[in-house]
Amino acid sequence: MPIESLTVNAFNGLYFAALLFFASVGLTLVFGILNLLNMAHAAFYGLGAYVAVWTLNNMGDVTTSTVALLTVLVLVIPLVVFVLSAALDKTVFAPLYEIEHVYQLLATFGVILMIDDIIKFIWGASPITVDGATDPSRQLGTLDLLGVSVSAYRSFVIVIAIACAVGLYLMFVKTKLGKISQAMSEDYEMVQMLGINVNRVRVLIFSISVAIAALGGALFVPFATATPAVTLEYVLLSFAVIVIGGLGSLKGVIVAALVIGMVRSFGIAYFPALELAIVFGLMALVIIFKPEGLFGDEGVVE
Amino acid sequence: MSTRLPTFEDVQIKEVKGAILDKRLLTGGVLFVALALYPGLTMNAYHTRLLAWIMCFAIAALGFNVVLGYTGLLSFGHAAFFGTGMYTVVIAMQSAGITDLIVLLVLATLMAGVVGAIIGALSVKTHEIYFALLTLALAQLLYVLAARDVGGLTRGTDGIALNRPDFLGIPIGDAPAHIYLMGFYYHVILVCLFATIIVLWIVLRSPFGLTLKMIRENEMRAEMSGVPILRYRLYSMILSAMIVGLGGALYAVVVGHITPEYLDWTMSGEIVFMTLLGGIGTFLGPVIGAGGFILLQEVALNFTTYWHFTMGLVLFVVVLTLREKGIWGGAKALVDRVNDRRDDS
Amino acid sequence: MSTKKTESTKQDTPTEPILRTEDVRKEFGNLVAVDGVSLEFYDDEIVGIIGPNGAGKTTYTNLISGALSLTGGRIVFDGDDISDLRKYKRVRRGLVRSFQIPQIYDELTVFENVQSSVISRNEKNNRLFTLTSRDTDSIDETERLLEMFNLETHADEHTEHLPHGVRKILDVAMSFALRPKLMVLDEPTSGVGSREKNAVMETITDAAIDRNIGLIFIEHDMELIRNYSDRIVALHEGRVLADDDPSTVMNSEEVNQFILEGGV
Repeated sequence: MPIESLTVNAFNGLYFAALLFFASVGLTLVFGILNLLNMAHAAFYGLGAYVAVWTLNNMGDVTTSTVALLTVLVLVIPLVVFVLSAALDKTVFAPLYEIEHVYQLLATFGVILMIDDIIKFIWGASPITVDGATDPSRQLGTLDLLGVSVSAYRSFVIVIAIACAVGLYLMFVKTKLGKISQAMSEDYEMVQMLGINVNRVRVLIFSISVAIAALGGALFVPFATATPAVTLEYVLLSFAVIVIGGLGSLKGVIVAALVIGMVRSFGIAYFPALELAIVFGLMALVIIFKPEGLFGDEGVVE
Repeated sequence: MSTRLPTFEDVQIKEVKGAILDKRLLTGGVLFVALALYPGLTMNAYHTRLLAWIMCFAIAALGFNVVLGYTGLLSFGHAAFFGTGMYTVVIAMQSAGITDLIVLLVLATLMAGVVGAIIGALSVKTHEIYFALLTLALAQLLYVLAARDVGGLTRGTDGIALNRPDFLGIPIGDAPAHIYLMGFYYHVILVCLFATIIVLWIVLRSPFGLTLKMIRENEMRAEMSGVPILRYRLYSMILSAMIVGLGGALYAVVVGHITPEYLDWTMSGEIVFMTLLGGIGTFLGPVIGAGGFILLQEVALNFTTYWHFTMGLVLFVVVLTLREKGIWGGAKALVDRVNDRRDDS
Repeated sequence: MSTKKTESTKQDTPTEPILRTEDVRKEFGNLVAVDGVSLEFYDDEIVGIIGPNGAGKTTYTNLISGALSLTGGRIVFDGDDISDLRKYKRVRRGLVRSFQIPQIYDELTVFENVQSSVISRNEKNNRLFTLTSRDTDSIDETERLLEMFNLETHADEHTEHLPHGVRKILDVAMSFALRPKLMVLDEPTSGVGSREKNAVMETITDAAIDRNIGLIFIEHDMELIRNYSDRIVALHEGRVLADDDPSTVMNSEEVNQFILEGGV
């Protein structure tokens, strides 16, 4: 295959991987640290997408500055969702920590249905898109990468994903919160007995996780339309990512997001009919032959 | 404590048990006749269709509960069996020219059993969420293959329309749709539902059924009693898949148009939902759950287009409050408590 | 209190052992948990296994039951090499084990618990169209077993709320329902109140002698070991330290040094 198409596909694969990383990393952290299997996690990705389209389209009257638009996507929306999810953790999700995984799965399936309708209630059932004037991906144009012109905005998304991964890694290794979280993933009760306020750690980890999913959804829309189907698609894909990577592993999510991102990108280019089949086939193979996933038997960050 | 001869009390208990069984048979018989006469007496096509719809899913939920309630495995891939049942009917009619309903139903049930054997063989070694996620992945694989029309059998997302099947060589399929349903097909579904209930009632109280419960309650003990647990989990999946496939096959003719949607994971979610709503810990819970789910959906749809929210909330609340009891088990417990109180006073 | 079953001690003319382990080994990475254990067990004796924590007692019983696979050596049961046999097949041949914590079916009644074992022993698990409530063969046998273990009064109760001692007896009854040739019991009286301990042991040993079942039991309570064993095997660091009649083992210097003073 020609080198140009190889570059383009690899670049798009990286972009898909970045989005998958945003959608799934919180799912695996909440499972690994807090022992909650939140099927509704990716619904916050969908929610972030809708909030972003709505916000960008309403900003047009105030400003169309690229920096302002990107700030809203990268900082404002995740922050708002962070606060919102802290409230959700104290209410809707609080009783779920106490029940078995299979019931968590079912209850959060109910949450998906609810969020799905909240989205339809506010923004309607038809797809919505970002207006041209406030679309940062148009404003940023293209970049030259190894002789191929690629979207500068997509490059930006990839950079943010890398920054986010590095940030999470540093948080787990350097900060007190991160160290307590790691200890919780290994022995929840011991941490509780040490007199650490486990609930506060729980709220923080949950809210950070959800905010990252919303960040992913927000970054996703300038290039795509927000539809109710986005949620359902990413619920499945994020499960594929965390299963392949190994439940509870940060490294696993990064590697698996890259694998699936590349499979999708090259799959769409070369075997369009089988692209998703490969993803689910891979997911099944991993559970059959290596149920702990690629990195699941290690800690959160090892 | 020494050996004791059967006392008056024992004899009485046996008689009471017999009376309960008779009462159940009587209630069942009355219900069957009432349901059978319903379309003819009311001539209400809408209600008939709704009942037919409920009964198809009641069969599917009963079948699903063999795995969830009796063997203790949460499968998130039962849409694969439901969809296989549907697609087998339509493909057998269109490609193989089979038009007899009985042949189609048998074929669909068997095909679903084959898919159940394949998915089961791959997944019975895994546990809990891994079982749920593996069945989800395998079923989704089937969905993607059907949606992309790999193999050229399913016509992709457009789906395939279905003619009405004939019965025992009588070209009854030519009858108008509502007459076909109200005068014939509805009764086929009704008979299938009652047959499923009777067969399952026996099977789940047989040594085989007891073996499934052993595995659910304590897998290690079951194995240490000489039970090859993986084999029995597989049997459970096959039995479950066949019944769910029958439900799907029956439903195919009701909807008349089969799309990959019926293989999608949200379909699996709905089957899980119905079963849980009715109560996985009770024999008839899934039937009540299917009825409750579909009626709730119909009612919610009449008042609001946002029925997903209502359904999600109900699922959430049921999981947190009633758990394995569901509404049927919950109602039974309530009745028991009221009776106890009455006995006390 | 001394109720030693002298009538059941090993006869002078040894018959073929029911179970023989030959140089059995189990390694976990660098750790050698069981380091070449060769022992013989007969179907007419009660053998107590003692040893400090980490001596390899539980690992050894797991190797016998098939819960763990061998790193080396061979296990011969009733004349056949069963080293590679699956767990459930060992049970079907008559090699049955029980666990420290009673392993019973909580949502089933006491009757169903025992009946399930009877049905499994008869390999009737695949019967689809007969009701268990009409299966007179297994019902009769279950009733006899319940009577034998004094469980009749609990027959229709769900096992969840049974007292611990009763759960323990039920667990044993379920194992006896499998008609074993040899039973391996991991601390049969753990969690049972000290007053009940003898009653539990009594029930087990009586039933075993009555039905000609060999018994191997792991126990920390030296009193029970002394009272109920015909022979004692002492394990230490995965090896056999002593294997002899109770008084010899209990008076052995090595056993005293490594096990009895270790504060069991």
